[in-house]
Amino acid sequence: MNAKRRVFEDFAGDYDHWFDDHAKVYNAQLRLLGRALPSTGHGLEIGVGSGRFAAPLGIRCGTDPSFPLAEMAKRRGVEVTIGTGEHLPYRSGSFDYVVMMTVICFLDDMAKVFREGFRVLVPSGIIMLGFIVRDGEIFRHYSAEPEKGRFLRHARFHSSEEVIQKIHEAGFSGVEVTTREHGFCILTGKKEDFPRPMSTNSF
Amino acid sequence: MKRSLLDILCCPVCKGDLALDVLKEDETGIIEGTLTCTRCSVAYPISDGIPDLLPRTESHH
Repeated sequence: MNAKRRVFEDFAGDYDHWFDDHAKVYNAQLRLLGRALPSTGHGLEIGVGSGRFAAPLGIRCGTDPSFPLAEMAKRRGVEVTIGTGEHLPYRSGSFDYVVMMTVICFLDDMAKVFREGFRVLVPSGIIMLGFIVRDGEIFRHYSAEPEKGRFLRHARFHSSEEVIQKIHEAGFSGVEVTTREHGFCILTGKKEDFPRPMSTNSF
Repeated sequence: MKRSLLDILCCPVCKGDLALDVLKEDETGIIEGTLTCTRCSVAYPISDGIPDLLPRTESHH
């Protein structure tokens, strides 16, 4: 297990407590993401962590490489798997939307994760990314905190232009930035195809 | 995990179908068991109700 994976295993409790200790920022991000999420359909959060976003936002499924974090997400009611975004353990066309919240900075291969996200979406499915922009205000603020620094020192941040380019390269179109505040960006992209009904998975 | 989750799960590497072997199950779902890829034969454990679908072998990476 590499150092990045290990920190999310060994300090899973610290990771989870951060959301309680920074309730104002957390609630603001929840509101922003909730506004941008589709109101219907089955969702997957890649890098679901402890379920701090998936559970309150009604995202049914999540995957994360950290067992202790996945356990917390499960306790919060998320149907979780241990897995990586680069090798998603889901069949093609399983989800109406895919969410990645403050996770792309920790990915080994962002382009491959976007291609996997594209694969598991139904035609007309939506991908939604929330991320800290490289050199933005939040990045500079969090980097100065000892607790967040433990995790963020394993992060590689990206500019919004770089992320948009990779999203396009994965096959998404209609890429739209819905939020860009204080160095935090939320954007959406669509898997354009022939329009079909929403997925009928009943889990 | 709920049994219905199996409908959308696949092998994380070859994307083959997974065969479910249940060792322990209760009213919340499958607690312990194994998911085995019918294509590449890799076995993935289910522990404490959570399927571990991380790629297993070096060739999987």
